[in-house]
Amino acid sequence: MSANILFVEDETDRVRRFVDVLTERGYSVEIAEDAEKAIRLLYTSTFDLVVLDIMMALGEGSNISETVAPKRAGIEVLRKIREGKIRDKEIDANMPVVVLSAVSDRRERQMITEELGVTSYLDKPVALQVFTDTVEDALMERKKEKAESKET
Amino acid sequence: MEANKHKIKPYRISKLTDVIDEPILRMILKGFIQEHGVPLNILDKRGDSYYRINSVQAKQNYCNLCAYFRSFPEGEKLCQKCDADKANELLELREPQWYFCHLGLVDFVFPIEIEGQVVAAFFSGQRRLKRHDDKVKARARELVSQVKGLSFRKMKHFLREMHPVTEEDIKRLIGDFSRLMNHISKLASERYSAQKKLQEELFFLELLSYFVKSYSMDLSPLWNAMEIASERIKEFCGMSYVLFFVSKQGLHSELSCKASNGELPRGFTSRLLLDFRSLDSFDDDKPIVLDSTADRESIFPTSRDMGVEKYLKDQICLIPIHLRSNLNACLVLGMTNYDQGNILNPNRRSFLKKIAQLIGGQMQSAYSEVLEQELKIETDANIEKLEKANRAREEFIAEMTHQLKGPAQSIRAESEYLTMHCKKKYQHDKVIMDSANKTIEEVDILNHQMENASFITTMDKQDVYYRLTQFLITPIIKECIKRFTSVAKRRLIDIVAEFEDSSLELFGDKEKMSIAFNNLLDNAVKYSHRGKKIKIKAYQRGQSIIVEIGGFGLGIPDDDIDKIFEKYYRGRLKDRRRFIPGTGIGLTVAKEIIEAHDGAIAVESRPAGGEWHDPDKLKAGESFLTTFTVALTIK
Repeated sequence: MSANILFVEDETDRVRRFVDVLTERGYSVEIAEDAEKAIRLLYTSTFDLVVLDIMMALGEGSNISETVAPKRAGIEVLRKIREGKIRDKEIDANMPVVVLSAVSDRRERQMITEELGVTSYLDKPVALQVFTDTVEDALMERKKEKAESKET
Repeated sequence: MEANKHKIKPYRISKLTDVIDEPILRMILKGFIQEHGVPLNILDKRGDSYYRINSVQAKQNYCNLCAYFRSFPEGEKLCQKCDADKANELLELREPQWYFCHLGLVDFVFPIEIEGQVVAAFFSGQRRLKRHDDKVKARARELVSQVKGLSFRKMKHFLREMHPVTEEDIKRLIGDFSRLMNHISKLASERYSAQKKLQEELFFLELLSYFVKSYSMDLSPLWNAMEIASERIKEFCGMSYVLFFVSKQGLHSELSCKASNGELPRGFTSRLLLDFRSLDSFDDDKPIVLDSTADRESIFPTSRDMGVEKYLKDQICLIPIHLRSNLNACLVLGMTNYDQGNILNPNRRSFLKKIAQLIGGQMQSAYSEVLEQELKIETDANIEKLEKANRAREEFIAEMTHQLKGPAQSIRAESEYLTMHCKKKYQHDKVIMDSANKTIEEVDILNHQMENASFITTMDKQDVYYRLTQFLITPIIKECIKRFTSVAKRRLIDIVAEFEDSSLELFGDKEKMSIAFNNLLDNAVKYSHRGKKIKIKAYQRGQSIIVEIGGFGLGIPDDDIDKIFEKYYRGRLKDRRRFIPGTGIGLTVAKEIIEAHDGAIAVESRPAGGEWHDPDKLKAGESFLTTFTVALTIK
């Protein structure tokens, strides 16, 4: 299947193979290196899934709230998605988000998973195969959900 | 601190009434006089003279001659002088004797001796020895001119009245009296010992009172106490001065405090050094007496240039004080114009030693309190340093692990992609395939170490996140085994797995359980002997899943068995034939994970020859069979 994936990651060189495997599967991938850019892309384009790293900077010209934890701007992106709205544009608040992160702090992780809701939380380093499977499962799930809600 | 004003006198005895009260003495004498009907006089010392203890009773038994003669004041004086002179002589003679008194009568004198000192003289007698009559008459004629009113005729008359005695009589009388004297001497000695003991005890109590128990770090209260105590020791022991030295580095010591003595020159006390090195061979029982100038100069090296030569002529006695079995302090007692042999008297020696022990004991407790405080402060500081170092180390490990995740991720992804790519295009190129697979394998091992490190640092802070799912145990274990293929092959170890049932399921954190089994297998492989089997069994028993991992190898000694799960514990195998690498955290992590899953882990290590009957096991004693048993509750 075809889908649009937003890959939010500041260490782009390190995740190139993740992007490659997705591209090989026929997905189109766009990369955002900071939170600001990610939100801008969410505004300008439509995505079916977001792969998100938590540890990154806010970015230039950001009008995101300043109360973000240092180098945890990824949380802001997740928050924005779950709000379902970016400025005047509506977006899918239940868009699948796969977190790919090195953060191991339990409290943070709990907050992210339970409060904000992620589809999957993968700890770096993760196997390529596991990553690919997770993404595909998530896309499949969301497709099913959408189909079911359409029926009702 | 005020000096104790109540003076406790030393145990010197100078007169009999020091030890026997006058009333008691009089009673004894009265009894004797009444029984034997003899005159009896006691002369007790008072400074340089004697004084009579009794007079009235004695006179009752005087012979008429004496009674008459002594009724004249001058006569009395002469008789008393005669007695006193004789008593003085006794200081040298110390033997009971008979003699002719100045009148010419036979008198007896008995010395009462206590502790080698004559303290009193007993006089009796007034006997007439016939052959001496002429002398008596001649003397009486002489005295007529000296004593006003004296009648020669009466004197002669009284003399003739007297019943004469023979020399045997005299000897017998001396014998009788001697028994009395012994009795009194004995009584006096006993009383003396008791009193001496009491005085000494009181003195020690007094000395003790100078030591105040609340010492601060600088010990100055102790030295203040010593200063005052030295003063008292000086008085009690009859010394000219008492000096007190405390060794600071065990070598030289400056004078810490002194007992004042007007005779010492001003500079004497503050600059005098005591060389402790030469005192090392002190015989504990013998205070050292410095007799020669050479001796003194070696012990007091600065004494020569201080103009204190005259003090070097003193008899100096050193009493060592031992603290914690080291020679740390010394009392120096000096006698100016000393009495030869005074210091070396055994009683005095033991008394001084006792003083030294008392002071030593006090200093010991003072020092140990101070040392304890110092030690505690040092220990607390050390503990804090250690904890700080520990925290720093753990933070470093946590941070480092975190930093390694990025590169590890990248290497892994690249390798995996490479393998995927190679499978399509280069599946026949062994080199590329091998290399790619090898890289993934090694990254996995790297990952494994990092996971342990990451876990151990978050474990203490209760920061571990468990992602709970339902999963199968068997594939996890199989993956673990696969990971160790290279290592096992390298050491000719065969890993064999027995799964009773392939549907053993658990509710828990799959990744964490994988880490736990990984660590257990890692351990088994590391400690296994070359060419041995490692056996894994997994089965269900009741509501639990049991996993056993056993291997043949170095084994775990009994005293180590409880410690192997401790953080950083690496074992103490004494006969390690090769160095076994490891961080000591593998088992700690495994145990923590298992217990977090409501499970338990046990270990057993015994000489091989157990239930598995492994065909390629060596003779019993050469290998230990170590089995780890994990029990997990099925939720």
